[in-house]
Amino acid sequence: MSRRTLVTGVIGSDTHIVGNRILSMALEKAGYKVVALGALTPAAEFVKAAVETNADAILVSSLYGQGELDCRGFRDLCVEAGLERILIYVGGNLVVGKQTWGDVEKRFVAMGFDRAFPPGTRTDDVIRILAQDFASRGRDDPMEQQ
Amino acid sequence: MVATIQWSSNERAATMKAALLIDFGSTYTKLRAVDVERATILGSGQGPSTVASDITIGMRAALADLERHLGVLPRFAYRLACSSAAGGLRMVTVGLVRELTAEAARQAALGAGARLVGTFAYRLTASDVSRIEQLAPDILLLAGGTDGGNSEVILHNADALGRSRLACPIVLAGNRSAMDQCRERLAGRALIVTENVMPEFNVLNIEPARSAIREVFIDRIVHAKGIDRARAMFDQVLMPTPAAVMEGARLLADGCAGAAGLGTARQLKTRR
Repeated sequence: MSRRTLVTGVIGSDTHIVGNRILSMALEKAGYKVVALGALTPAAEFVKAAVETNADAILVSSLYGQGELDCRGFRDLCVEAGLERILIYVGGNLVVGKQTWGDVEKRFVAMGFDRAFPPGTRTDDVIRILAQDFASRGRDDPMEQQ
Repeated sequence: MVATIQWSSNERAATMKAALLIDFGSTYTKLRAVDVERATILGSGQGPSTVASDITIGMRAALADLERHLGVLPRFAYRLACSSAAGGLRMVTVGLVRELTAEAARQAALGAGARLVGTFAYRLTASDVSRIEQLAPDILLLAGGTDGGNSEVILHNADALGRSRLACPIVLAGNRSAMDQCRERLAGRALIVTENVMPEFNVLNIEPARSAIREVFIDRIVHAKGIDRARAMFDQVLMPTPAAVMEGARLLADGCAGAAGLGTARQLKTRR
């Protein structure tokens, strides 16, 4: 099977690129083909990039506290573009104010993200979980037979 | 009033290096005679466009007009033509995401001097295909997917076009990984397979598709529209007129060997 493709970027009006760039480099080193959209990326652009590149997952970063607003309807956009089954992750400082991580995670999962990651997540952990998720999908995904 | 050079003798006309530049337009057949060494325009000539009947009639009229201006026609070292006759190069493009490969395909078509009569994105529906059949373009550009990216949609579209009544040549410039299968689905068609217009996300690569389009233009369209009936009167049709105008603007801006350009140029299109 050919290399898996991941789309990464920082969503909305957020310019905090450093963490996303470190993550993108680590993912590339781990053998993925990474389409890095960089900072200030509108939600729709993640989806368009994923369509053209036939991406296996989209990894969205948000650091400026507006992530909840920016990510609203993200799964719907994917479904709209024919990417019903694409894996989507989100990570960073996703909300403003003091909120427990468990609540935040629940909220983003309810929005349709497969996983949400708190600030300070190590790249190794992302790579490990991503491999697990791909492996478990591969088993029950008829598309993998192609 | 057109200024022309008065010949001191026919000798001069016989020895200088002159070029005859021809535009087979849809209204006029236009000629310019250029002294290549002195970089001056010697004169102009114009005749009607006779593409619909016999293109040589308009060409002869234009040459006679040029001869009236010059007194005597020089022996032309080059005789090069461009053409927008018979409606130009009518083209349809098909891509995947409207802002990405569909847009790249559109740019390749415009850059090649084609007249875009339809642009399509995503999966072609049955009504899209019949719309394309109605448009009956001279050429179709099929793109979609980055290299190694989405191949499902371009395969669907190749399949749909393969089953259609469309007879024109097709330039394939999509996802590399899907090209072999696209070729199978379009078997029996005039196909030109070239590099992807967008090999990587947001990376434009329209030059190979552009030159493929021009190749088709010269091979097929020039022939189909009867321009090659006047073949004895010129050396070669190089490109569609809009492409020639764009090349001209590019040369003006960038210059060429031995001559600096004017810098950034903007090309304006006027409609009469």
